Amino acid sequence: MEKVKCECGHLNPYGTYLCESCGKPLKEEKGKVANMRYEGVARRSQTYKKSPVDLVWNFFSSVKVGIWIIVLLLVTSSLGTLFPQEMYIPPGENATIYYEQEYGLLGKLYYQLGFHNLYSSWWYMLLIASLGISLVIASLDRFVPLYRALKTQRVSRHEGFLKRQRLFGESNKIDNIDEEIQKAEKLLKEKRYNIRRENGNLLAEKGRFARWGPYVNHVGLIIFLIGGMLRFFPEMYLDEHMWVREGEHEVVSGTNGEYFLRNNDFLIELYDEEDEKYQDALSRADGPVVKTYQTSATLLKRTSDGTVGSETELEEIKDYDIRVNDPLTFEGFSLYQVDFKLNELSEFTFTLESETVDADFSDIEFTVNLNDPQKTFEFDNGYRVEIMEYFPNFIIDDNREPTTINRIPDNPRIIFEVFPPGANEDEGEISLIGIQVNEALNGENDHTIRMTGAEMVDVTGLTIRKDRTLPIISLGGIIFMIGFIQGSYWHHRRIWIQNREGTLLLAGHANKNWQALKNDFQLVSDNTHIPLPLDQTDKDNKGVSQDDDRTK
Amino acid sequence: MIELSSNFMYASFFLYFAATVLFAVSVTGKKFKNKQGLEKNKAGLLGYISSIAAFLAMMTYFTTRWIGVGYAPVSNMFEYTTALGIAINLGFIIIYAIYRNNYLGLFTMPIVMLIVAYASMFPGEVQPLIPALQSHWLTIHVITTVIGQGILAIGFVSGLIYLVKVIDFNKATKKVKGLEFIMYTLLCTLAYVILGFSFGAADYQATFEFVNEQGNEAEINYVFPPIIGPNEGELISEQGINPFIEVPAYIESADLNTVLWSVLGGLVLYLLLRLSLRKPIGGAIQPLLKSVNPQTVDEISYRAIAIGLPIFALGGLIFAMIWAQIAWTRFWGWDPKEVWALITFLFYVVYLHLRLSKGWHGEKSAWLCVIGFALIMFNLIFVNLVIAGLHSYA
Amino acid sequence: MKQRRLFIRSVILIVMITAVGYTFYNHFADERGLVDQGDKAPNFVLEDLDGNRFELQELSGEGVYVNFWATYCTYCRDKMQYLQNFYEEYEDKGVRIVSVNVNETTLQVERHKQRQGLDYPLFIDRNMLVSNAYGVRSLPATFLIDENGIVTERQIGAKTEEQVLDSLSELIPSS
Repeated sequence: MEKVKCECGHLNPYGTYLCESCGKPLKEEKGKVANMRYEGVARRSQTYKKSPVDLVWNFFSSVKVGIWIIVLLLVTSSLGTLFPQEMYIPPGENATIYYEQEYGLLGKLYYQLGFHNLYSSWWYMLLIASLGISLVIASLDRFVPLYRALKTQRVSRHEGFLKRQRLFGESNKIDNIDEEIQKAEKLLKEKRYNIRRENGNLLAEKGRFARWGPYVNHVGLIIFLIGGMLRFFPEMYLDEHMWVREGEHEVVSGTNGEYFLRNNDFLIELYDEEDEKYQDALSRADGPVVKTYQTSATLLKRTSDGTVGSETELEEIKDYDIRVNDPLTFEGFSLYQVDFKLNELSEFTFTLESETVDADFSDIEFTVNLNDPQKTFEFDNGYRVEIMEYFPNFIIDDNREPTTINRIPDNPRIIFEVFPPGANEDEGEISLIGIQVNEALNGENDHTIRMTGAEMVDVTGLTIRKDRTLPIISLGGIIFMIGFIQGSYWHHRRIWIQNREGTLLLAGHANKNWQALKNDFQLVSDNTHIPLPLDQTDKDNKGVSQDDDRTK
Repeated sequence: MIELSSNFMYASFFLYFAATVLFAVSVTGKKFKNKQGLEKNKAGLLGYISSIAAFLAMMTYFTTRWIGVGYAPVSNMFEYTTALGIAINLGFIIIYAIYRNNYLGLFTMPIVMLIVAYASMFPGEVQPLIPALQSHWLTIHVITTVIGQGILAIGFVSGLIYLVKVIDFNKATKKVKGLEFIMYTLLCTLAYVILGFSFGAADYQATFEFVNEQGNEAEINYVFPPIIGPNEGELISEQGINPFIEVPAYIESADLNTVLWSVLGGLVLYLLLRLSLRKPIGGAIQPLLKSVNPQTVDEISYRAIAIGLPIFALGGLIFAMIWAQIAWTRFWGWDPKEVWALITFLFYVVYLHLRLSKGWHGEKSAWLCVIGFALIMFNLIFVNLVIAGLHSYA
Repeated sequence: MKQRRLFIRSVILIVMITAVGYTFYNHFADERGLVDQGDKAPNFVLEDLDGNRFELQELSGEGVYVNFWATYCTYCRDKMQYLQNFYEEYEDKGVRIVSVNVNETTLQVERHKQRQGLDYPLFIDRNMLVSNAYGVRSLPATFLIDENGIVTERQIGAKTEEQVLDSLSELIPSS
């Protein structure tokens, strides 16, 4: 591609609309007003269409493509909110039937199209990836030439350039043009314009740095997206769950068995229904309203640096009350209060009774720890009770055999064998005992095991989280905001005043907020003989658009 | 304290009304003033002053309620929607200071009134905060977001003025229909407020026994006369009529009934206006806007969005993410409200790119501003009340 | 100039596409276990039901079949029965079976041992320390560890008797 030489002597890249140096229009354009977007520079992407690499590059460089990607993202994102995502359906529900059952045919379709996991689907992630690529390429393609154009701009501009600015004025009735320009310079300086002079011509410029805002913003977004991408890399992200019973400690997953958490106490505090302040609202609510969920926890650390397993010794690190909105954080890990289970059975206490046998059972009382039951209980009067089987969460399985669903004592059943004094090994009375269950298993029993008490504990459910991408995400967010504010709350304005052989030419350009620029012109015209420029788009809306280039 | 704060809210209502009238005078009274010679029309300035007074009254409501309830009063639909009204007022104060456009006041003040009135239809009693909301981030996140939305709303108002100004109402085009639909939506809200106040003042309540979705007997209250009845409903209160239609249990019949009343009420209001004006409502307003400079309102709408969007992004996305990380263990979880905040943001991003790099100015840009505000309202009302998610506290 | 541009563009595109590709690979490929094929097996210490200390390291030079199980896991039960049939034979060939219960009560484990007639030692992983170290999420989970202490395979889920036998054979030390 050949370079284009302007009459001022500057060599412009192929595809340039307005000479980078003097601003002379190099291409014919429609309308009265020049297209000042990107200062009329050549966007390289639009000028070379050669290799496949260039084709891909040019595709992503296009703002139109960028806009389409965003539109697709926002439309598809909205689809995902039609019904809840899989992670928000009630726990334990099976997604394969849940959607159809709850939402009918539409729900079935939703599930079949994979919309129940829309935001982690390959095509949604591909869209976000394309957005990222588009951000990088489009920003690079625009920032570099724009930066060069604003750096190489000359003070004296071509008449054709000035005439085609939205704000333009001229006058040949001024006696001493240079003196008026001098006055204007002083005024504009007070308005904190940067002034450049050349051969008696003036360029006053303010807020150029606002032009970099969009690019700073895009850099922030790119960093943010990189952070989001890193989540999928090993060791960057951890999302685990742990349940801890009151009084017990459990290992914190993901810490290599290094840290443990003890639940000293779990507490739910409710709002007082007598409280006058909330009375109205509480009486309308369906049930009591929770004020606090809190786990009083102690963080423990392994002291022996030896081997994982049963020889682990622990020391206390710190006590902390974990609440919603107030996680316990240590070494990049955070423990959040997210769940709880009240009144999980922990102990049963039993005694022995008999209607037929005349013996003293008053001393017989034994406690079964449901999380670590003792095998046998022996008593002074010669009685012996043995636990034959223990099922923490009893169920009859498919083979019609008694078994347990898991190791949580939600529905504990114990098979006891009672040996009266002197009984043989095979003479025990067998019974199955549970909550509201007491069955003799080998014929009539002489003795009955009676439950006299049950202890319960609360269990806290915590989420364990480690997210090493947070610093990167935060950095991206901060840069994004800085760029956004820089580009939105400041604006670039330029005023050209030139003396062209006795005629004063006057033009202005702003990338937005023309009102402020017009006010500055007003100030100049009020205090000098320089006339107010005309807004060439007034009464003629067909002028080419004029705003800035906060674009991708 | 709470009562005091409501009094300030009532007071501000009158100030909004006064501001509307004053701006109307400033817009229509110009000719009259010209005959008087050079005397300046002060109505616009007075309107601005009373809008500031209204803002201060609302801020007093806000502060006293804050003191009264003990947390930033932005925790439920009543409080948030009111805060949105205040924020739009604030947005107007800022933008008016830059552009001194009385038409903006004429359009903004009634919309603020409508939003505040709409807010007061929600239960306003003091609510205890659930643990997830007990955080300073409630204050920071919600207030920043609402200010952003308030300023964005000015973009909508300005876009609306632009559309009423430039659209040709003599032909029944799609544009005219679109604009009339916006007017109709506003009238539905108005109808809802009027009907709600009237039935509320009359202490209207109809109670039904019905069979709910789980197949259990339950009771349901209606505050509007039941046109639509609940599943196998039986009227058990003295007030009330037998419904004309019965809907299945999975539909919230009382809510649907309210929507139906609003839609019908809006229709009645609209038809009455159409009949008395004998032209589209937009067409009737148009002559008022004779001296509006479309370039200016176009720039105002863009400016409002350029100012509002960074604030919205900060509050609605960034602060939201920080809080979500603390309260919900992750900064982003694709909760419907989060997604719709993102959609709103992306939509305005598309607006900016279309405007700045594809030259979508004037009418196209104005339509986008209208849609943007519709998204904000959708996120506030529909997502909160219909698509339940982690955010549905109201 | 033009070539330099092509070069720069290609480099930027390749970097971005690789990054995206790797992310996709990580996201959609089968999740790798915390401890998986090729890793050095983390050492651990446990006690059997009689209180005998056992340390994995002591078995260096032998193949080790580490099986995580629970009494409520039906597939575990089957698998442990197969192991019962072969453990003596393979112990002679230098393959040891380490059966780790995931934190059930001693009573349950003891009764299970009696009922199922298992003769090889059973260990209880109190507080799930070992299970955590090995990233065990579902049962049965088996780790095949060779004579050098390297994990040669990570198996999740039910296995047939034949498969169990094959795994045991694989573990026979080569020397």
